[in-house]
Amino acid sequence: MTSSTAVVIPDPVAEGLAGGWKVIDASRAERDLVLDADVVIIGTGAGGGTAAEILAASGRSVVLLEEGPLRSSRDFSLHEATTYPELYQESAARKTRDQAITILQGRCVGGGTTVNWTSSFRTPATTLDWWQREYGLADVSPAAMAPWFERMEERLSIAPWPVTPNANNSALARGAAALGIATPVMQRNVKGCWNLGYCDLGCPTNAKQSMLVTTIPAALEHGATLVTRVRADFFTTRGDAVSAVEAHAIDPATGQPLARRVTVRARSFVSAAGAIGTPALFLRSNLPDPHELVGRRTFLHPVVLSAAAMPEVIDGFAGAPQSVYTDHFQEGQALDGPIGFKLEVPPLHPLLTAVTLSGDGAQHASWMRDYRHLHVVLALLRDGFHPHSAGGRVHLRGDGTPVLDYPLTPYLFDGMRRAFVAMAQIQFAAGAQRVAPGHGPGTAYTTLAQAVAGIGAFELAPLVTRVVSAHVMGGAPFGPDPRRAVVDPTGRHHHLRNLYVCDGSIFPTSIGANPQLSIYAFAARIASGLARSLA
Amino acid sequence: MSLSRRSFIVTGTLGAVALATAAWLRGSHAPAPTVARRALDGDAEAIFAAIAPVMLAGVWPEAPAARVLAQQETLTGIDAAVAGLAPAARGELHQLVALLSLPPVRIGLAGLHGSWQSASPAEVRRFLDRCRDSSLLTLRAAYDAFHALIFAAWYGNPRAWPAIGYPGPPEFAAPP
Repeated sequence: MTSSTAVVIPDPVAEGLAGGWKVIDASRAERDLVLDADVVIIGTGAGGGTAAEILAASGRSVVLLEEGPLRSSRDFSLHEATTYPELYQESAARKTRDQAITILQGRCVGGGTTVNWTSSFRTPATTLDWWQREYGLADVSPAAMAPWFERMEERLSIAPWPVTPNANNSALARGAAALGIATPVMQRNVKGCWNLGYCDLGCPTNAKQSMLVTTIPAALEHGATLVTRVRADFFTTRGDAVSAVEAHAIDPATGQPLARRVTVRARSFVSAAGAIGTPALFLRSNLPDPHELVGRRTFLHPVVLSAAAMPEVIDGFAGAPQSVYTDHFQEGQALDGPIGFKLEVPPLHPLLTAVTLSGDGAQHASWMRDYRHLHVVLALLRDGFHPHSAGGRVHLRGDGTPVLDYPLTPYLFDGMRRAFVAMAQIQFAAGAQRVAPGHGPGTAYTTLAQAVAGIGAFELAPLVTRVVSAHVMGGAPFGPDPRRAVVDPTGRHHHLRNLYVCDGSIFPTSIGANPQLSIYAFAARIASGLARSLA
Repeated sequence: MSLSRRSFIVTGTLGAVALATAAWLRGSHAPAPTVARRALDGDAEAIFAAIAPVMLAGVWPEAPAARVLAQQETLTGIDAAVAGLAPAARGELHQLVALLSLPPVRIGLAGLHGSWQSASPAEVRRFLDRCRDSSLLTLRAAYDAFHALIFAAWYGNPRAWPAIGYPGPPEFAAPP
């Protein structure tokens, strides 16, 4: 795909900067900054970006704080080795406390939306019904939420992917079809997508309708100020209100705090730092938390994976990374029964592929030699609904940085074992020559019977079974009952009258689907309510 | 390996104590690396230089000059990746290196009577298998860290791509 006739792509961010957007790189500021605004938003991902546009368009003065850099299409090299340290939290190597789960999170302007795979699902009706019934969230019915989903679908050009799925997705569809399992087409937030397959490394053509090219430019056009490379340390409070957020500039070379300080005073504060960042900010700030809810019940959609060698060329690095899925293994099953899972496929760029495949030496090398024939399926486990699925807890290290303690439990392992079998069945049904579940040394099986027997004997355990996550949710749940929720159903803190949460932290369980559209819709609703209250 | 959550916490804690003790024992006397590096000291460089060819067996080119270059670039990649880790993760890796550099640990755990520089591929293979299959979470985490850093450093390098058939990412010209 390396082309000698390189194409020039217009960069709307570069044009906006040239046109006078107010953007400050805190790491290059010559003195400490003190800013005043109607609203300060901490984080520029799905929640913060959505809130920024709505609040700025309503006439409020808005300051956005972002820990990562502002990078746009002209900067995206599409090389993994430089992109992960640049655009991902902890170089895409963030781990849970026992190191057993690798967490992928964006850390750049646009947050996760700049590097996600564009998969867009409305919050499943079963999940919304559960929140109504179990958490007293009376007005989150699918009908009540429909206008918010519609609004964000329209804003971000979210529509079913009309193009033939790439070979990695097609193999999932083919194997599932052979077993009588449906694989619906996904919705994606793209406009004029080139079907390149590099969504995870920053969209080079600005087709992905991430916050980077939609809501954040709109907010900046409305006069918002964006401060990059700045990490919010804590809120200062006076009585029952937040008065300021204190932050430090971040050194681009080391990711560590610099001496340069940033203080933002505002009428209202919106935390949109993600489901690890928001609870960590609250914990560092010692905010009122009488029922010790902050940072608890953090969910991950823990993911296990299965690799297969297919007879045909797959080239899993090319083409829209996710375009079909199946809910066959969770739909219609009791939410609080044995854990269900969603099946999807990932993009297969060489670095992340090599790191994710189990084992090493000759065996690992043989898989990498088959790289072009490699097919990988992911199972995303729907955590947070069963009493034995209480998720994880965000703690602070001595230096104030967060770490998520997420125990892998027998309840989860049961689902992982069933997922390994389901994925192997589908891969063999699709014609796989060998299948290696992501567990232990990465033993490969050449028949389904062998695989099923092997998986049955797996001793599933942390750092034996490969587990990853790209969806962090919970830790500051919304709900009417202050004994069970950190923020109220409008997103406002139960104990601080001008503090709002506008990110995946508010979800009281996992979503059961890739969460970006859920975050967009709830953030739009929360920010619209806040905009009305400030009018 | 069906250990309970509780025993994981215990072994994790013991592992952490051992790691911290090793780092303390070594103090600041780690040898310098062979070339200027951002994050790896000489001990870490020696361990990665011993482990990388075993994890990447059959992958690096056979011709001596190309092989040396591949090894050097892999170590450079590991150094860059470690420099980009959060301080907590870098600290854990530093402690692990300190532990594995202590002669009693090197002999008892890794089965290496000589230095890491003189370890044979068979000895390193045995050490890696022992880590991967260990009942101690700390050793499995060590295996995982070696796995991630070494494979990321090699397969993130365009030099690795022709052999696996990856054409590299599409290229776009910079806007005028």
